[in-house]
Amino acid sequence: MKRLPKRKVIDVHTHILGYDPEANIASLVKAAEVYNIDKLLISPLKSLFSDEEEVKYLNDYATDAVKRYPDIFDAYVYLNPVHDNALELMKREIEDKGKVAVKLWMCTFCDDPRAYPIYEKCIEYDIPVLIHSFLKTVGQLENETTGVHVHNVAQRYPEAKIVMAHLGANCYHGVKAIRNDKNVWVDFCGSIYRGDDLDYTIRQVGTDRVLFGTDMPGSYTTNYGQVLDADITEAQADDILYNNTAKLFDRLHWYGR
Amino acid sequence: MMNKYYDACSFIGNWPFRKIHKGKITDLMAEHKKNGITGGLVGCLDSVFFNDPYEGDEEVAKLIRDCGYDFAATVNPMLPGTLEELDSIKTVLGASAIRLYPSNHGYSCASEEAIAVAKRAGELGLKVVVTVRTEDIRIDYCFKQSGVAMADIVALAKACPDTKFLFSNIYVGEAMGIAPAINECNNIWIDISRFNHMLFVIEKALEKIDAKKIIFGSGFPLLTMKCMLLNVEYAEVDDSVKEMIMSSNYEDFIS
Repeated sequence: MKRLPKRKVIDVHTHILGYDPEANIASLVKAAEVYNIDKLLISPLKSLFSDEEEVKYLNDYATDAVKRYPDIFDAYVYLNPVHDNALELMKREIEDKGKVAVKLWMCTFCDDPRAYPIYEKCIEYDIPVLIHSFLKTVGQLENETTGVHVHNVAQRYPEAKIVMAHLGANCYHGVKAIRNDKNVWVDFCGSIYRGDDLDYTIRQVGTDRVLFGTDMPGSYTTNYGQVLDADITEAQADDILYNNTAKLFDRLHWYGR
Repeated sequence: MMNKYYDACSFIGNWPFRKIHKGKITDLMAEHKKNGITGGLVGCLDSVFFNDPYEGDEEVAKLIRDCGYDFAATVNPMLPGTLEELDSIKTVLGASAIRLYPSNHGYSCASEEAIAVAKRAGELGLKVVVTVRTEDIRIDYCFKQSGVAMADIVALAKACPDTKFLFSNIYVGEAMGIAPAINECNNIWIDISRFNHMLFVIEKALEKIDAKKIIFGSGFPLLTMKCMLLNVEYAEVDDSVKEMIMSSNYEDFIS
């Protein structure tokens, strides 16, 4: 098996999907080996609007995955802001289960007032929140957050540490929306990999606020290749691939991998 | 002797919806050289949106060929005079292929006009590249691509058995869905420029698609060069298969 040359890498955005979690875990573990990845941050997802039972199941699954592969995985706690028990669950997952940050997906827009208590708790714990953000020309999903919604949260909670995922899909829209919000970092994970997206993003927000992510079990090389092709120095590439995330996510667990 | 590696899907020029920072022929050559690519098929982005694509291609065809690349002329079969112009595209522009953009120009590949152009292209020895998409439709701006039906491009290739086709910018899921046609028809190849949705994608594609039919394409500069190169380089497949994807399959297609 040919492996990517060793380089310190944290992938800030991967998933175990509730429809076939074991296959996903196997793929992620293999990817960590082939691509020489130091740490994968996983969030478990299934339905667009998860009920309480599903949220518990998914978070338990992620806990178990981290237990099985502690040298590879750390996990987000996945929350539905609508649920009455969201804060209680968050407390349990962060304080007792070792989750390192919060993931919000499509249960509500991220600037829905029902999500405010979650941001306030994130500030209290001093942990980041990763927010799915994706503006589509076709097929926009109900409650699918865009860069503008992320900007609203950043303005309301300047102490919150927010990661806007996918560059908001169309970086010319998403990154523009948050470029002056110094408490927003971006990841460029996913299947949109236009030639100029990463360079454009860096011109808007610098390299310090850019985090490497892939959206695996989607492709790894798609996003890793973007870093190699970007007009940046090796030191800036190291910041994006590893240093920025290691600094922002200071609860990651390291076991000498 | 140095191996010849080809990129079947690259372009030069400008794109109306965003600034292309590496759109010059010198940018393409530098990127290819850095990555060990020695040649391939190059099209002109500007021409895609010209009312007369020939005018855009006239400006760059010689430049592209003089730099050692094969030239792919932009053709819209729905424009009057296109069929007759194929001769000039071959003899004056020196094109090796024509590139169709049905999703941008809004027609069906199963239409009479598309079939007539593809047949005539084959008679002239011009290969036909079908661009399934130029952008991910989720991030189209100002202009929405119409989409391309897989059944239509297969019908086109079957209607023109003497013409060689490259289905370009096809998603791996789409390619796997028409794998029987790709494998059975000796006039169909695909490029991997949009094989970007799954882990270990080359290995998975090879479970269904004949290795002889898969050609490396980058999509540069609309897409980045390294993404698909890494997919090939780190695929768990025999080196001979990688050699086919990077080299001999393109030679079979373009010859």
